[in-house]
Amino acid sequence: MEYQRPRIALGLLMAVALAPMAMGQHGPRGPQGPAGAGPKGRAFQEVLDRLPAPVKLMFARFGKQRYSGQRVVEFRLDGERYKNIENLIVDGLRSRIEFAAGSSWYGQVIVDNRNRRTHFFPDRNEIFVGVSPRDESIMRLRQFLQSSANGRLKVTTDNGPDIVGRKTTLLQVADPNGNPVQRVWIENTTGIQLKREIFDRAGSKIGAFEFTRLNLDPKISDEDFVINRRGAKVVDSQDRLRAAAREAGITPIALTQDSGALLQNSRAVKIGDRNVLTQTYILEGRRLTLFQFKGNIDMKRLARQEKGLIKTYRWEQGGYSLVLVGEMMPDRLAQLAKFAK
Amino acid sequence: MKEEQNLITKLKGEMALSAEESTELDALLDSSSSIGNVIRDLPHEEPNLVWRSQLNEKLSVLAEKPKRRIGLWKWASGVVVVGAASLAVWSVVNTRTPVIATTNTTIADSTNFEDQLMQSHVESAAAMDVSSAYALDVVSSKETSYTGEEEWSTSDLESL
Repeated sequence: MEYQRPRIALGLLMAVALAPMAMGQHGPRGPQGPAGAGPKGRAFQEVLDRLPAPVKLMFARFGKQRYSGQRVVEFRLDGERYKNIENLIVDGLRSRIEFAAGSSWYGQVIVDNRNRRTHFFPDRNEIFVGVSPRDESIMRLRQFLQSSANGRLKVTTDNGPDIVGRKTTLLQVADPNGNPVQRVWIENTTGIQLKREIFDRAGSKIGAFEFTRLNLDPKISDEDFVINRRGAKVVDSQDRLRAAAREAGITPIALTQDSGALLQNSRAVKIGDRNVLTQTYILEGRRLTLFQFKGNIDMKRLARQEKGLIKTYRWEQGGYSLVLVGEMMPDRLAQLAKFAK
Repeated sequence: MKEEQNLITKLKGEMALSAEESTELDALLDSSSSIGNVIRDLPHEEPNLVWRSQLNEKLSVLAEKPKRRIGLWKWASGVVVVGAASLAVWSVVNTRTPVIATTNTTIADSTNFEDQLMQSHVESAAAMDVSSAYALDVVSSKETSYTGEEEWSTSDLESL
């Protein structure tokens, strides 16, 4: 691939930023951060070493950037497509996102302040308080790079088009047959992801965002990272779980905190003629989904859907069938299932 | 001599010869007997109409057989063409089995419960990766779309 040589200053900046990785130490984000050690960490580092500077910069500077801008986000969920226009203010681990007019979630506001997330829902005057997701999306890219080390995925780079007037580098992750899994367009001098696309196994684009405005020198106030709405009902992930379980008519079974998995989202979903309680967890930067429902399931058919990194584990508890799905080995999923209460 | 006369009589009368007579005729022709002169002296006549009619009927019957063969060939060539096309399609499908089988399976099975569970996981993970929001309260958002008209309540305004 052709790639423009980065400036010397950029190289020096990266050398400083990547020094802890090269020394096998954890970065400032802790053991789950991009700089993790061990065989997987080394595999990641070896792949990263062969990639151009903007990709290295993306990993090194994630959670440390300072900018404001607007991006259009599109994704598919439960068969429906959603489109949001997000106005962002980002200052390291603090961020504010407002969903502008024309968005599916118009009026909602999200503030991340280090570990704490506050999400305001104006339609029912409710504030959800939870854990800031921080670096899950970058962790998924890191996993892809690790998987490329053993040939399960292919990682390629190329010069990308200008986006919001900025030069970009395209990072593409594909399966061994060349089918795209993810594409990320990285701003060359900051490592900011300006565009991202995610595909399912059928090759359909199921999620994407693209910046339409970017300001690398924004005026930011501490007030930007506060939501203070009098009279709003404050709820947390357990409240959301109970509400979703009521809606599904299911007595909820959830992974306890001892499992290390953090509950992020709960939904009542109708699949076929069954009510399904869906819980989404985050663990070691990976997303897990716990499905709970009445009745049996064809595990052979489900196993046939296990492609790539995604595995499943099924058990019965409390008169319900439970299926845990995630990018983990089945024995690891089985261990987590023991924490279901 | 008598046999020779019988032969001549039959030839003149355009009568059919037996196998023995045909052999005898051949021998006489080879022996340069007078029979050759007799044959040359036979009047040069056009075949009679009865014989020509019979010949035409035989030819018309024989002519139908090639037509049947042509029809058979048309049918056979059609089968061959269809077979070749099927073979070509099969070859293409067979060489791309992993991709096409996966696609067909996905489409055909897209309505079954197990596939939808997996699709739900994939979609929600993707949505969380690209969206800032992980509290994907989809149902609530769709049912009660916010208009912005209730951004400030009366108590909010009073507190200003």
